[in-house]
Amino acid sequence: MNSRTIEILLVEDNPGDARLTLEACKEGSVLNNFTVMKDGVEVLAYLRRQSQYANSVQPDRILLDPNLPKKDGREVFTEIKADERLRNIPVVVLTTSAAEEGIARAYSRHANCYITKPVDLNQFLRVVQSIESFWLTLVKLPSQ
Amino acid sequence: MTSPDLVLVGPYDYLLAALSVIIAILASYAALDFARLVTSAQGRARFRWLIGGASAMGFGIWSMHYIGMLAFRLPIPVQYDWPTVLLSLLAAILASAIALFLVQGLVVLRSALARIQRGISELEVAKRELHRKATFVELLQVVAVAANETTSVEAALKFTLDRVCEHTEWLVGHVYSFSQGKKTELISSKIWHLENAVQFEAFRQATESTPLAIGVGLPGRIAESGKPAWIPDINQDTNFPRKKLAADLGVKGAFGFPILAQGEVVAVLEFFSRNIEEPDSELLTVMSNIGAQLGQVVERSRAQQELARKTEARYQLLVEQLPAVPYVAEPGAEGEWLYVSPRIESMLGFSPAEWIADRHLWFRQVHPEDRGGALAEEKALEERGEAFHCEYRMLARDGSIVWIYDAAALVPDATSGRPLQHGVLFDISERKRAKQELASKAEELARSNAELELIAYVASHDLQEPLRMVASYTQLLARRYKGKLDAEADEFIGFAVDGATRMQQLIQDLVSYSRLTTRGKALNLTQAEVACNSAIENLQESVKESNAQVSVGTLPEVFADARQLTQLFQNLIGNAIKYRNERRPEICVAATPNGKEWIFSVQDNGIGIQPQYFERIFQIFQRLHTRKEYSGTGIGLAVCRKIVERHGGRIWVESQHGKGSTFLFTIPQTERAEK
Repeated sequence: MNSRTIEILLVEDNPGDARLTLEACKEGSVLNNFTVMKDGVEVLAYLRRQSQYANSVQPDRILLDPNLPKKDGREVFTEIKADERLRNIPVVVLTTSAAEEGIARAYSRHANCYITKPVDLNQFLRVVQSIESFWLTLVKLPSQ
Repeated sequence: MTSPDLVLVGPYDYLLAALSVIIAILASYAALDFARLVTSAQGRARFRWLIGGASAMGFGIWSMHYIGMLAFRLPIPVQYDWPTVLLSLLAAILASAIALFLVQGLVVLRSALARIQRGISELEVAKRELHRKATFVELLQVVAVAANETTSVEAALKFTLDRVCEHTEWLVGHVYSFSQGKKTELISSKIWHLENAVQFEAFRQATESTPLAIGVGLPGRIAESGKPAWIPDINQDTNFPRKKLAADLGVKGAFGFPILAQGEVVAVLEFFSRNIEEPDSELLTVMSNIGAQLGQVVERSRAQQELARKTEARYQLLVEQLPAVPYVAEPGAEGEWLYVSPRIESMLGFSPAEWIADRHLWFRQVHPEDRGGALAEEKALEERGEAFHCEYRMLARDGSIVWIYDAAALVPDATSGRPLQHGVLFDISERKRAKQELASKAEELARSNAELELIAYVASHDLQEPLRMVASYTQLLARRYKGKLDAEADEFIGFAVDGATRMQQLIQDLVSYSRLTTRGKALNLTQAEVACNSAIENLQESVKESNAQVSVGTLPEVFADARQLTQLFQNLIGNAIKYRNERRPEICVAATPNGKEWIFSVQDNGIGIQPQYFERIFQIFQRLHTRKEYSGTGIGLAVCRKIVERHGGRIWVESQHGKGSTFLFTIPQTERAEK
């Protein structure tokens, strides 16, 4: 068990969805610190610690909704993976419906995983929590 | 007895001398008479007359001599030796008999000779007669042969005129026929035999320019009676309009006979002679026969013409009925048009005459945009003999555009050998229009489908996000504040969550329903059994849960969308399991052939359905139970019906309320023969 707070960058433009994810994670056992970004361009700036984000903290994990204004989630994803310094951060793609699975599958070679946001809240909570367990207990990440 | 130089002279009794002369005369007369009687008598009578005649004549002649001798009074005593005298009498009789016999014989001989001569002359006459008949027969035969072999009626007629005039040595032969259609007037056919064309020129012209009514003139009479006719002397005939003309030329006799075809007079032959000819029944008979022969020629010719006309008419009709326009032209874009069907006029508004007259017309009328293609094809045909196929637009006379399909090949001309373009033009405007309509309809359909797809997408995506918010937060509320708010609040939240969840499901169902068509795949050969088993696989959980027994019979191969077929089975079997009663669900899936289709059945022993609902259950979102009783949105059977209809079949239910239901659907049989 890790005592350190996990930094999670949530890239989600829908505040409702963002909040849901936060609430879901709150019920988990792990302490998470969420940073929420709504904008693809902003996200990259944050990750690269540019301009006002000079003092940002590198997240341990990125939860990414592919539908973003300005820069498409896919583009953000590609850029993250292209950037040497950012490449190692695990990215979880959150799709909203099975319809987008196709798009998500395109990520599958590079995305670390993707999940469909279930309609049922309980299900959603379960999914989020299982992801938590997965990353924390089973996976060893390269240290920063 | 006496010496030669002694001459005795005595007196002469002149009375006795006269008596002897009288006896001589009487004897001669008798002799001649007897001779006649002997010749005219027959047999026994003749013999008697012969003897009698001989006796009388003999006695007469002897007595003449005897008395004459007695007349001489000789100075010396004379004595007659009576035996010798009697003997001389007998001799005289005998001599007479002989003479009579000979005369009689001569007479008989002469009459016999005369008879023989008569016989000979009769024979001569008969021979001449035979010869004449033979020449008639020959004439008839010659005409008959010519009639059979002739290529034209005119040729046969001319031939006949020539042969008859040759045979009869008549001056003029001519044929009258009926003017076109008018059976009341005879006009000259201008077929003549003239011994002296120059001499008869005026006669000919007069004849050719004068029609004759039925009954007028010799030909008119023949036309009326249908029998041959004869004018021995035209000068004596009152019904002969050309009398003066003919008479001036020395024509005296006229003869004519009809040509009969099927009992009707179709022409009249007339002949003129310089002699006054007596009617000859032989000639009339022969001419009648010739008339009959020629009649056959005419009939045959008519039949041929009729046939040719009918064939021509039929062909013309065919060519005009063809939806295509055959044509023959010189190869090349500006080649001369040699033939084009009359239908070209209705196709493009230009008559065949105009096409043939103007070789540039075709090129002028080809739509400017299509000229390139047409020219290229024309070149390929002309230079390399490649078959010509081209679609191009042409401008009709009124300016409208006609789509033409032109197919042609090079065919060497029968007589000259040069290659000609034989082709056919089709008006394919209709076809093009239909194609375009089809294309635009297909486009519309695609657009419509795309729209539906879009709606489905919107429904599935954009609607679900707000729905998810509602559902998720109400659920979150339920979690966080359960027990913390009053019971009513719990209830309200419960309803809200329930509503949201259900709406979610309904939208999902609607989307999948619409996708049955828009995402339906083409029908391929599918194993129904595989699809069915697949469905049962998917229902594993409910099967286990309900302990259902599902048996599947032999299912055929059908043309289907495999995924949809699986869904169909899944829905039906799923329903069978869901709508069970306390009994263990027993489900049978089977297929039976029925004519050109298969009837599939899914039979269960569940709760059954009442008859009044047999139709309603297939309607979208229609349910017979509450959600509490049985879950579901009521889309299952609507989906089934849509799938079945898409596969070309129909679906229905047979059921007994409380006992169970059998859902049946049909799918057409695959036609292996199509392979």
